[in-house]
Amino acid sequence: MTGFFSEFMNLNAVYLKANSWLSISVSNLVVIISMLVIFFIAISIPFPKDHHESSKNGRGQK
Amino acid sequence: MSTKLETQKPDMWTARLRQSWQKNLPIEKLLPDTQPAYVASWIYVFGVLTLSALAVIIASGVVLAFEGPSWYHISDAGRFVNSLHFWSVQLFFFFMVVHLWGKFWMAAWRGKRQATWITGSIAFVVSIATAFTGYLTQTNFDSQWIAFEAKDGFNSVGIGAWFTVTNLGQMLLMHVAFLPLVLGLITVIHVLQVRRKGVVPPIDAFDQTLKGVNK
Repeated sequence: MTGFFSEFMNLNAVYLKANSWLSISVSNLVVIISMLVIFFIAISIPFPKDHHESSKNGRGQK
Repeated sequence: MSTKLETQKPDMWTARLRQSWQKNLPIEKLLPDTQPAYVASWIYVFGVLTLSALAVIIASGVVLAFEGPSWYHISDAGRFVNSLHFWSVQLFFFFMVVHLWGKFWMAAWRGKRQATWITGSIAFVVSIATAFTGYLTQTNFDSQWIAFEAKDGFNSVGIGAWFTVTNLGQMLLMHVAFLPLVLGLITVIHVLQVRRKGVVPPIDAFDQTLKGVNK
């Protein structure tokens, strides 16, 4: 592994410390925030519909 | 020619199992060709994405097991498959957590789906154990450091002598034999439960799979 990735992967982890008991690495925080972003996108972006089927089916009934 | 009475023995455990299977999971439920309209949502994709990542993990893991550390530490192809195994695990957990959040917030245990929820929860815990033993069997300085950090934790809760994280042989067998078997079995049961009870509807939707059972 050479170049940018080699240097990037060999850097020491950066930790955020809020107080004496809460400590999290920036990389872990990025992963958690990414999961939250993907979750909110998944529940808000409409799923592409099959035009043939969508004319027959509704989005569920009460 | 034998009569019907002679060929059918309802007291046999095989007959009872067959009848129970046919009643609870007929082939139409096991291999459906349609799904309720509410399944057309991105949040319903993450279960399948988790399964897809698991398939890549298993396939790359089988290659790593056949070729061994002297291959995956040295050759370019070995390092590629090793990385493929590692990063598919990262994606597996990423998708599984989003899947878990989606199912938690739509209370996916509704409609008598407790078994689906419980098997999913167990699969999550077993996945963590499987991934942990994977970190311990990388056979590099990272795995040594993790093992010697973790041993104090396991010793402090009194299971260090039974589950010995510094014992590479035990951890390797756990990772490549026992835990994948348990995880695979629970995953199969989880998927069969999804097929049996149907995909859980959103909170405000009519349960099309169970004909109105939505509480």
